[in-house]
Amino acid sequence: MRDQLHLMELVDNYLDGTMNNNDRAAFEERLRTNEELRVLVEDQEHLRRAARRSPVRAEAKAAYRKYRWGRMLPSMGIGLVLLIAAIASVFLWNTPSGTHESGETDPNTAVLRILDDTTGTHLEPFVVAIDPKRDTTLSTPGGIVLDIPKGAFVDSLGVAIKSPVRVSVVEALDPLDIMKAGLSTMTGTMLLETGGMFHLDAQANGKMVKIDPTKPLTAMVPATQGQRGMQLYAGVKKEDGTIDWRDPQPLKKSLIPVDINTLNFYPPEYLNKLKELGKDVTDKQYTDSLYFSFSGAVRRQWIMGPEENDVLTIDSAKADTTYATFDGVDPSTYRNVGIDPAKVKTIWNDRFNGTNLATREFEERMRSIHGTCDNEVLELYVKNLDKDLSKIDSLVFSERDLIFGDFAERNDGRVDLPPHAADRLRTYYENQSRTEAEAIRKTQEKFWNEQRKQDVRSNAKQADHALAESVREGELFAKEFEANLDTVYKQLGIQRVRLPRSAWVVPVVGTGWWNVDKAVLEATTTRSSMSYTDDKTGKTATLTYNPLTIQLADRTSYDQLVVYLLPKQLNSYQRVKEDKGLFSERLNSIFQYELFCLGMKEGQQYAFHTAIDGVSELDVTLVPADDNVLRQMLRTKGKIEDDLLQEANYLRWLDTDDQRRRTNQKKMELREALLPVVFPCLEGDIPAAAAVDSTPAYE
Amino acid sequence: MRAKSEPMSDPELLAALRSGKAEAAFIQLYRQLPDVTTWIRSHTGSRTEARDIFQDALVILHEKVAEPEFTSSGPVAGFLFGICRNLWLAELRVKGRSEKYIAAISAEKKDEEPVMTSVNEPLMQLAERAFATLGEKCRELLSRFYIGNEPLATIAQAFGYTGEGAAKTRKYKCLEQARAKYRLLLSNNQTI
Repeated sequence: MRDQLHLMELVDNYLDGTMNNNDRAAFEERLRTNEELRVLVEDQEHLRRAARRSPVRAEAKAAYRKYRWGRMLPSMGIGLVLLIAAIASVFLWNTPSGTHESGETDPNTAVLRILDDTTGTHLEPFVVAIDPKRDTTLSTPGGIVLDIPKGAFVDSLGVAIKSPVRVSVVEALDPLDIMKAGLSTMTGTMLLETGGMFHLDAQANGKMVKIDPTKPLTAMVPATQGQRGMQLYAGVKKEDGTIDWRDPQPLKKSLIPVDINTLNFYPPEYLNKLKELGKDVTDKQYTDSLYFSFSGAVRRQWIMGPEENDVLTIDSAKADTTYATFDGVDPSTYRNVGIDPAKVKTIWNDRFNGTNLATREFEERMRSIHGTCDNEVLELYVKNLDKDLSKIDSLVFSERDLIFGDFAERNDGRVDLPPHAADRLRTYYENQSRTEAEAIRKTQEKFWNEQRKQDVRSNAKQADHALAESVREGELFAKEFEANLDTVYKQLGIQRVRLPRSAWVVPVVGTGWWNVDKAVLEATTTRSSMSYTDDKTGKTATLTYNPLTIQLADRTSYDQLVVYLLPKQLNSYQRVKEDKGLFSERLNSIFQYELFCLGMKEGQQYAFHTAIDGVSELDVTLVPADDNVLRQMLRTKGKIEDDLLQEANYLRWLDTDDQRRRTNQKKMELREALLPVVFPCLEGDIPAAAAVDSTPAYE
Repeated sequence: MRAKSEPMSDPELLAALRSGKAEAAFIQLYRQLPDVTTWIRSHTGSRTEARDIFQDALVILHEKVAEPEFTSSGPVAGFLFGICRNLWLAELRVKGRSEKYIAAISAEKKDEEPVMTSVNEPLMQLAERAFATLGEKCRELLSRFYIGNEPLATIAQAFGYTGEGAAKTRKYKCLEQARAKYRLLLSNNQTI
């Protein structure tokens, strides 16, 4: 290590220009020949420059914040305004009621006179009759939503109106309407930028009515994203007939809650990635379950652990211990990798309907929150449901992420909550997000522990089966060898002497039957034909093996497939090996064979059985077969029938187990593909242990 | 005496950048951000990307202005725009945009002074990221040494180390950590 430190010190001296000429020349000579040293110099130069840039970048960031605030403040104080001639204009714009109508007015009349103050504008009034004893919500053709609480209209004495009220709205929301109507947008001598204006008139029995100041009407005027810093002005008609806009009031863009389940709180690329992977993104239950299952997969990426040399490790500790250690750790030593899905699960449900979170405005922020990878940003919004979104935006903007300055400028308000609802939801969130994380962790642990146990059991069962098959093949070989020897000896006209096993170790000093045995052994082992002539008697013995090839129809559609040959005389069966889709074997001519095939396709068992009668090629098509069909195929073969039914059982189990393993493998692959989307700030390779150990189930 | 809101002249801007109090100069230069944003957005970029590019450009401008051999005949704003343009062209290359497309943008005539952005800029960005991942103590130690030019003995005293040797060892360990991280980032960014 000392050598390395010394080398780095030399590089510093070289880069600082503090070496003397001789040392410098020697160092440069080393540089020419030593690639490693050259890389070290480059790296160190970059890192030194990075160190120098660090405070400059901080200054640039701070400057941006100030620049943004500098731009925002004037617009909040005196700048853009939305001209909405609201309640006050009812009185300011209207001429005395007597000039309009006399006597009883039919409130249901669809087309009524255009009021004096709006005549000449050529704007079509929207007129409806309402029952003032009930809450009423209107929607105008221009998109203004007018909420009129019951008892809002009163007479000149302040008594609530009970007879039907005729409400007229004239709206000029876009610049073209405003210009065509000849409406001015001046306040004093200053020109205002307008976000639209409307005129409201209300009459009962032909007389103007007032609005109870304690029960104001609420107008929601369509707002576009580009309009910022809007204020509410009241229109005052001047003597020359023009309107002067006065008494500006701060205007907040209201939030209109929607069903929270219709919003998208996933990481921005999550659904796209799933679609790309061929998954059904319309099945929200599935996409939810999969996304939430990532909770706890990776919590933080350690840059420098408690020991500074622990560079880049993944923290996938258990949820409870993670939370316990989280607070006391220097935040500069780890990197947040993304928003915890458990936290998203906690807020993305009916309980948060009717809050700031159940709005399109928050949905938009949620995309940026994912971009910050910082759970504390999400928590700021969730724990401050009784505050305007714009306040939280400003806080995040100044403390964490500059992009939230754009949101802050929109001046979005909040959804009003019943008393203490924000406190209750905050408590719910704090408790539930941890509970959700723990529940997901337990589910995943339980699932994968069970899978691991099944893997162990499955491996043992497959090993047992392989061993049994090996034993059976050995026994079958011994039987066939014996049968071949008997046949050959018989053909040679020799009485076969069965030596005790101990005789096999006696050294063979001459020729005799040893040759015969060896030839038969070789023929049996290689399953090839042989011919042997006895020199003394001139008799010839032969063994014949005939090739058989079995072609199975639609081979690739089977998940599992085994082919057995049943040599009748041996009361056993042998498995036929497959090579490139073809099953082939050499059949001993001294036996009669039957062929038995078993297959599994999409969970269904298939089989085929036939006697082999001197053919060299067989085309086989398996048919669906339950155990009864199998028994019929095998008829009464005693132990072999039982053994082959056992094989069928094993094959069914193997098929199920293979499917389980394949499904798990696909899950792992899917999770691996989604990990960078769910945790966008995760960098580098994830240690396998972290990825596997914490991979949750999402059934 | 200038009113508080009066903008700095170019020489004043350069002096502010060199004085170690760059923030005021940066605030003024941020007035160019809308133009840069418009240009980048018209060339397939986003507002966020424009903002990031602009911030990188400010850092580079600061670095260049500090170089003894720096001379600028044109306005600082134009110089800054040139850096932004070069950075965005480099970014487009990283994004895999065709050379034909990039050449077409490069050919667009602008009034600003042409600026050669360092070819090592993508590497510098990784080096910055590597440096940022160091612990606070390491960052402070290296900053004191490389920016403040503080002697190791002073640093040792400030950090409570036993002596100059311990401070030197600590400094190189920090540098080594930064280099390890830098190499890791490099290996994950083979395209650079």
